[in-house]
Amino acid sequence: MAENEPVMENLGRRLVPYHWSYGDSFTEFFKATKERGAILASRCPVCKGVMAPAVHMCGRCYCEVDEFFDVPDEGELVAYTVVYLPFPGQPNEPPYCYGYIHFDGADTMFPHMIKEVEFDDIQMGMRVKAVWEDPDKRKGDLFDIKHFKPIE
Amino acid sequence: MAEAKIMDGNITVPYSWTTGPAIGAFLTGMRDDMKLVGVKCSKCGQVVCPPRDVCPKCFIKNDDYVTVGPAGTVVAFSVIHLPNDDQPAEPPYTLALINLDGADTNLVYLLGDVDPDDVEHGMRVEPVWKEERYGYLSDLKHFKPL
Repeated sequence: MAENEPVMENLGRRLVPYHWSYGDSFTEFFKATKERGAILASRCPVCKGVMAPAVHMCGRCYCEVDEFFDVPDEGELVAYTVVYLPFPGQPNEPPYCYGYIHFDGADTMFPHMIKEVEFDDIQMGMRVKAVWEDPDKRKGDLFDIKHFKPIE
Repeated sequence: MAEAKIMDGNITVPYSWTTGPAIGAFLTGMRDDMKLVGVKCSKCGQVVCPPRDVCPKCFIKNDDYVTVGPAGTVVAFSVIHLPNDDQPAEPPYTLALINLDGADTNLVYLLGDVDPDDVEHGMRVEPVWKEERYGYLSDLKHFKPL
C-alpha cells in the first residue's frame, strides 16, 4: 500500500455499453446467416453492381435496390493482414490473420478472419470458404461464420 | 420489412491517466498520510485545493504544497435522485461543495454517514478514509458530519 514512489498515474477501465441498430440491410443479411447459413447479396437495377452483404440502396447510384439472392459462401482472398500487436477489443489473441474475401459473383469485399492455414502459406488470390458456426449457436452477427479457410 | 435488429454490445476501454505533479502530490498525500494537500501561491497567497501547477489568479508556477483541512464546511450541496452509469453511490446521494479549513477554493465530494434530508449549509464535515489506499481519488470514501 504505502510505496515510496509518489503517485504519478492512475489506471482504469471504462465500460462503454452501446446499442447498435443494424438497419434494414444488415438485419436481412444476418437473418440469412443465422437462419439459413447463407450469404445474402443484392443487385442494383441501374449499375448492376452485386453487393454482398446486400444493401437496400445502392451506394454508387443512390437508387433503391430490390433484387436479392444468395451468393456462394466462398471466393477469392483479395487482401489480408497478419496482426501481431495486442490492443483492446480485438477478436482474437495475436497473432491472427484477417482478410477481405471477394465472394464468387459479388462486386464487393467481405472482411473476416482467415484460419486453418500457416501465415506464410497465405497468398493473395487464394480460394477460401466460410466455416460456419453450429446453427443452434448462431446469434445473427458476424460470427455466425467462425472464420474462412483455404480450399483447393 | 422485418423489424430492425439491435445489437447490445460492450466495449471495455483500458486507460492510463498521468496525474502531473500537483494532483500527484494530492494523491500521494492521501495514500501515504491520509492528508489533503493544497498549494499556496507565492504571489497572491491563495491556497487552492485540489492543487494546480499554476495559480488560476496570477498564472505563476505554484509548487508550495500545504496541508489543508482535514475538516471543512459545506457551502453548497445537491441531492441526486437520478441514476446514471457513473454514479458514486446508490441514489439518493448527496454531493457537497466543501470549503476545507485553510483553502480558498472548494472541493466537490460525496457525503456519507448522513441522511440527505439532514444535510445543511454550514455543516462541518471531515474525511473518511479507506483502510487500503492506492493513490486513487477513491482512497477518500466520503466526508461525514463532524
